Amino acid sequence: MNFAAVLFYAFSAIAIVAALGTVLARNIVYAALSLVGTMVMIAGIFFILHADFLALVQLLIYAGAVGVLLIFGLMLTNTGQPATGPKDRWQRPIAFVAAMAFILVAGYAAVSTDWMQGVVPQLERVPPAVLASSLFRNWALPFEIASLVLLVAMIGAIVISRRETSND
Amino acid sequence: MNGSDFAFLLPEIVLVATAITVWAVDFFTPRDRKPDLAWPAAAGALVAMAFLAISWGEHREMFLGTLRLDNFSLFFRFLFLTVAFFVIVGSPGYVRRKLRNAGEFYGLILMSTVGAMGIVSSREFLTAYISLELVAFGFYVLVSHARHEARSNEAGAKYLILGAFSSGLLLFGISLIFGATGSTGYAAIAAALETTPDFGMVWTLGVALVLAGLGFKVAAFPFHSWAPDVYEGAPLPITAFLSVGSKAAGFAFLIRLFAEGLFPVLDDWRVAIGVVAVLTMTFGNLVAIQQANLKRLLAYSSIAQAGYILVGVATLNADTTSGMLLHIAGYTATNLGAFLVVIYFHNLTGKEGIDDLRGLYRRSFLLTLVLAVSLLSLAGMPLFAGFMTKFYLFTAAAASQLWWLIALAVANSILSVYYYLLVLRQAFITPESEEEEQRPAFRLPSHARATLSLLMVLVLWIGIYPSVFVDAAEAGSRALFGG
Amino acid sequence: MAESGFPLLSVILWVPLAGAALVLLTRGRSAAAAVAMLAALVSLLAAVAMVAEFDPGVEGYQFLEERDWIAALDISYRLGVDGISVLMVLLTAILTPIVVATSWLSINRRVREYMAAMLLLETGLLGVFMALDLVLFYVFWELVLIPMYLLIGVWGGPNRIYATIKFFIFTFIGSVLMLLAILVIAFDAGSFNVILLPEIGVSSHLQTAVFGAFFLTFAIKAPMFPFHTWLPDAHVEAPTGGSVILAGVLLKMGGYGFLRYVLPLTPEAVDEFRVAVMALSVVAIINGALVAMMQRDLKKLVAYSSVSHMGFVTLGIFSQEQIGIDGAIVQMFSHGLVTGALFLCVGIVYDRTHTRLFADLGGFAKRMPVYALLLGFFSLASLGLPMMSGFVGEFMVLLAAFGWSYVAGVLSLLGVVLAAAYMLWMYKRVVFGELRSAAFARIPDANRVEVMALLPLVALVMWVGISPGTFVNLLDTATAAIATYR
Repeated sequence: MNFAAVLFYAFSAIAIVAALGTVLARNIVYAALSLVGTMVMIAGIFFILHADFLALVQLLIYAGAVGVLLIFGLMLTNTGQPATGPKDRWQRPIAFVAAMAFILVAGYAAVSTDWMQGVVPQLERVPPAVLASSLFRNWALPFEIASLVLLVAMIGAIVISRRETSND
Repeated sequence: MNGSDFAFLLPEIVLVATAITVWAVDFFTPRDRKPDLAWPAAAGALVAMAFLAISWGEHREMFLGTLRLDNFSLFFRFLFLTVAFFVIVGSPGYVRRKLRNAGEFYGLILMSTVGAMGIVSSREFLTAYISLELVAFGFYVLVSHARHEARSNEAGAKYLILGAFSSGLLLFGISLIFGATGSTGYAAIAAALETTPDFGMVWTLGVALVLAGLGFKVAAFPFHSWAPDVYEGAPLPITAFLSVGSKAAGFAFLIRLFAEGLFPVLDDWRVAIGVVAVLTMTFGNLVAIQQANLKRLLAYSSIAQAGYILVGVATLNADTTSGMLLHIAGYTATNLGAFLVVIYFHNLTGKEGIDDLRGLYRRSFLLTLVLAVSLLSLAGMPLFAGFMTKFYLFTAAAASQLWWLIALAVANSILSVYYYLLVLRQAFITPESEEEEQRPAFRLPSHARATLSLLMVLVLWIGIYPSVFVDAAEAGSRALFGG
Repeated sequence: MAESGFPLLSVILWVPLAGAALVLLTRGRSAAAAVAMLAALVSLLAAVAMVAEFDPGVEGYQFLEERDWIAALDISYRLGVDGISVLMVLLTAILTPIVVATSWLSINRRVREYMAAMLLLETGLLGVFMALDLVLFYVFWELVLIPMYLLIGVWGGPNRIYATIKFFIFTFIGSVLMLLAILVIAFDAGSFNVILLPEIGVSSHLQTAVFGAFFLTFAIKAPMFPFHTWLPDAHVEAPTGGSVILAGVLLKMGGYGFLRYVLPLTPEAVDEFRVAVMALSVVAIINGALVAMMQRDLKKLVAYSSVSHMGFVTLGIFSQEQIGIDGAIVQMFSHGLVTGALFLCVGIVYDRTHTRLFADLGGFAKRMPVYALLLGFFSLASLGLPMMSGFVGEFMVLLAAFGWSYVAGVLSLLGVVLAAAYMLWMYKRVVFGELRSAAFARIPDANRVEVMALLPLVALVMWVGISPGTFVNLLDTATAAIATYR
């Protein structure tokens, strides 16, 4: 096992723990912080894979902007008491079994598969210029559609959160 | 790829431009005039249709084959534009009574339509996925648009959570398929399947997850549970839009994916999809029978209809694809007709129970007629679209010799007739009480009369002399299967 | 095959539908009835012209019309008639104007819709008898359901909801089975063309399935014992006009289906199940007659007598002898006239007394002499008195039955005897004796419209009875062909 592999497993383990923290934390601020942790670890994995640009973007946007925005949002909206436990406790064991079964199946699939048919791909560093060119030429369409998705999300947020005037 | 190719995306560009314009104009429109923004929005859809008509028959691959504008995509893009047009034109009365933020409402409908049009043209997972998200994001907002109604909020929350969950499943499935085959392009996946017929567990899991994700979108059993509540809670025009537009988009995704990407492994999935089809239609029909609310009844009936279309997916070939396209077209016209009747009825009475239809024939002959035509068509009566399209689909499916599937599908059609007739009985046969007989006749606005008549003619046209539609559907199917 | 430039069949077929559309535009009951009457008469006139032009000596179908309909599936708009269809078309065209005329008096709400439904029904029925494409046939077959459902549901008696649902479920189960059979045939033979299908045939291993589906469909419609239970309910609740068409023409769709589809397409399966079907027919004859005898309701009695009479039809058809098939068709025609007339007679009494129970009826001979005469005539025709239409068909069927098995022959003959018993007893109870209620002392006799409506039926019943050759000649070529499929 080389150094990269050790790093990979370390990042992955922390990412998984942080992700669990996001879901399980009672206090929503902790959950948000855990999320940021997951994002940082994923950036680390990108880094190992020689995708420096993606790693930077991941750090800047997800860990940085999104994470900070989320925490800001939490601070501005007064959440009050931590949420009480869910009412439908009887569903929990079923959900647990289902989730475990899925993890087993997915895990088995991941382990049993001969990924890339035995060919070990050579990792090469993709310069940002090439990435940009590919993104704006070949993948321009999904990129554009993604911008529409954001536009719709923005409009939607306004519609849903707009305070209505009293004469409505 | 060169600049002039963008001309072929003009319909989408027009829709986006219209949506943004409507949002902008909304700022300067006095509140009581806002519902009328429907007319510019609908006009945008018409202009887009005109641009689409110009490119009829042109095949074009763009962005390294990720996008393919062929007759298949033309068929569906035209369908989505038609749906958007009718949904928007049917909305103003409802919007005036029930909704605020009218401009955003119409613009979002157009945006979701753009997403649907993107799905059908994509030959690549990520483009299709992000287009699907565009559809879904629009719907999350549209479903909860009636903010002061608890039902609408509940529906919006449910749809958001389950929609995001199903998108997650889909995305995970896509990533597994990518992992196995090394590509997200349908053609490349098919090619990989030719060289390596078996990718093992990871492949099976990937396809299963993609199917589950799309199963949510088309509300197939057992991924249907969101549908009735969301259909019931959403504003009526959006329920109509969901039941035809969103569903057709999901099926278009499925059909292109299986025809161009997963066709080599279809045999492994035939029986599973067939079983899902049967469960979907049976469940939809059995629960529809028990409904007292017209909207919920149509919701369950549209679950059942998805089951019939899945029969075509299970037996996928060039002929059943034509059958599915035809059936989706007929179903779209029919369901729009049924929902428009419910919308106008709701606008006039504020009610949507089946019992409330009593005496409808006396109060509005047109509403009764369109309701009868739509429901009989959904039931699969000859002379109406539903029979002709189902007949075409099942005849084509017979070649697969999955007789159990076809027999159960036909048997389900009987079952469905029963509850459609219960509705018609209220509208046409059950007598009114003396008090009710004093209620005045309905006065429908003239645009409502025109839209209803148009849809009725469409249903009868497809039902009686469908040649034009059959030709279009077959052209669409040839785009995928050649020949 | 006689090709005709003028689309005569299309005229007969579509004029009623056009009439239905026009009727919906009228205002007032008389205008609606007048337009409906006009449409029905034009259709009848064209049908008479068709009979006159029909060449009984020519094999195959005449007045063929063919147009592409759904080219992709090779489905055509193909119409044509042979001797069998000619009689059925004529029967339909004759009964409809009669029903329109009498309904003008007895229907008093939503007359416009009633007339439109009646004309729509006529188009559906005519289409069933003319269609030479399986899909087209199916479309018309289903088209009949909707107006019939409405006729019973909107203008029916107090228990109509139950009756409509039962009627619909029974016949719709039949339709679905037929649709499956059509899909199997399309898959197996690759054609919907009724002219060609008998030559192509259905593969042996699929014949039982196709036969089963078709048989159930037509047996429900005919109706054959034990699939007949929807019929009495539907009749009792239906308005008079609906009953007339139901008994007069709708049931004939079943018999026609056996002749046109079951015998030619699945001869091997027919051979296998023939004994069972014949046995069921005999049971239907006896059972129908016995149950009819026990009825307390005049209309129910006539309804069960239909079950018994239709037993003769299936018996004749599945004898697969030409004389039996000829007899079955004449019986269908005659039953249409006679039972139609009997339902009209029931309606005349019901309109005046608002009861159909024997316990309340009686003694109308003095109050309504003309009516008593007419009812007597049709009762005799129904029990199969010689020189009247009922005798001809039953006699021919009995000949074929005796040829097949003495037991079946004797049992069927018993049915005829029973028919005499219940019809005469019915007549006695309704017409003779004392009036049961003072309120009936002033009821008027059959009026001019009613008599005018029944007289053509009297003439036709006599015509068939005295000169059956006229009608059998029309059939011979067609039935000879059908008798060879075995």
